[in-house]
Amino acid sequence: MDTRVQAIENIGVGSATGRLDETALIRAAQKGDSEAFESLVRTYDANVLRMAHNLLRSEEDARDIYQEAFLRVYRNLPKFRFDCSFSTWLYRIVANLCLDQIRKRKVRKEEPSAMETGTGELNRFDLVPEARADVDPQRQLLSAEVNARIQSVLDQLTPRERLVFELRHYQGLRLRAIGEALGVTEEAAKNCLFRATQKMRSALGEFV
Amino acid sequence: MTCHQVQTNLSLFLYGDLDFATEDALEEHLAECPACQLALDREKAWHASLNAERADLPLELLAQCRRDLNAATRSEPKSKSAVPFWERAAEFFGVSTNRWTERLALASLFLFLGIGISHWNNRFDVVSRFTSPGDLAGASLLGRVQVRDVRQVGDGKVRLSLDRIQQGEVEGSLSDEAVRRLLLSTIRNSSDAGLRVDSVELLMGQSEPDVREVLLQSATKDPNAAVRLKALEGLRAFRTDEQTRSALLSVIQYDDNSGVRSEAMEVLVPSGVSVRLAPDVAGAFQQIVRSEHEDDFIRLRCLQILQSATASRIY
Repeated sequence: MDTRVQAIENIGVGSATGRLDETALIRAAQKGDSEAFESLVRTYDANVLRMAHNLLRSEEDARDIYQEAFLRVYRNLPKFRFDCSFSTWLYRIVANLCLDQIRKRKVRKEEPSAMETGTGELNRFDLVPEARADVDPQRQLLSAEVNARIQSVLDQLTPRERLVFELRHYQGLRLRAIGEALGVTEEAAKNCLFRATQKMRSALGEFV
Repeated sequence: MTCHQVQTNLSLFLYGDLDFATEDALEEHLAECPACQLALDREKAWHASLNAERADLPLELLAQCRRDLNAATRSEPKSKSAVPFWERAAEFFGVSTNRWTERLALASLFLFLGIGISHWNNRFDVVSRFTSPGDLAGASLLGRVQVRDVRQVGDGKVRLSLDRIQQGEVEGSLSDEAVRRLLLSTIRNSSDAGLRVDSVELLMGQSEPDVREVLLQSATKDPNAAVRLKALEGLRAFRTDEQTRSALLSVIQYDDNSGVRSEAMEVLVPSGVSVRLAPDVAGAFQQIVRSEHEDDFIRLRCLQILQSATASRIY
């Protein structure tokens, strides 16, 4: 029942309907309720896309990861047994897809400093926001340098460190959930995060 | 704790990922060490720079992804629900299968039922072997034998006429009237709710008037919510029929089970289907919107339907 309440909320009919009951939503989607599935997707899809986009720095790859991840969820949802949380399961799928893609790139030795966009290739410096008249040009230059340094150090992380850092810093997942998503222990995830932050600190600590 | 230990753990400290003892020690050290406080400030600064420099997610990209996914899932074959029977049963009893304690309780329930059934079967074996009046009396107590008539026959003796209930099997298609009548009779008269549910399920898709009649009766009067739900499912085939519509409205307004009410609404006005409401339906929904205070879903769904309704007649 809550699933449908949520669906109604989504189309803006009501708002005082209580919080989302994700379990009910999943169960409804398992029974073929397409609205419930769509609600589930919309709960997580912006984060999934942001994560893929940030990790792969390619709109096309991020779109492929998004599509493949949610199609896998769609196909396998009836078999989802609540052995872990839905988000852990989803992040496990996304993490594996991203890891595969990053490793493929390493094999192909792609140039990481350039990112692909829908309108062609873009240098990472171009990611810096457009200049505004009231912004100090020196500050803008520093911002561009910081951004370049960040991308550079992120590229130096191993795929797993990169993923753990993304999940912890940007997605806000707890170490336990990260461990479950990556199929490692919480302690292993913690060590991985520790190594990633050491590298980040070395590259950025004196720079900012 | 040394300065080196503190400074290498600053990120984990900011994320809240240190164990309590290490966190306490680190905080104590920070309170007394200006160099480490400075390191903490630098740590916070580069963390902040990561967030500040992150490119925003292009909204058009997200919209495009959603459109693509929508198109892809539409072209996917519908997967059959793999929710096993025991989970559906758990859901029916309002039991979550997520927690071990409740799984254990459910397993105990099934075990109890299994023992009960086993015990019943043992009794049945005894009954089927009766050969003397003593056995017959036992069988009568178990309901396997019914006494139809009693009379005195002299010499202090009595005669009891008995009906023995015998097992038998009938096989035939659902178009066979005899089979259908047996099923309909089961839905009307069986005391076993599971048997009634199964019988309704078997009759799904049958369009004969007697089937509709029994489904209407079950949907509105069966004491068991699972049977009412199943009967409502069967009524989908008859939803354009006026009598069915009236029965569905009655369920929506008066059934004491919110799941049943919800299913009746779904049958009457399926989600995602554009319908036009008959005046009686619109009136009933308006009444629910005004007076329903306990069930948010029912009230909001009525509101949604009313908002999307465009004319005065259903279909």
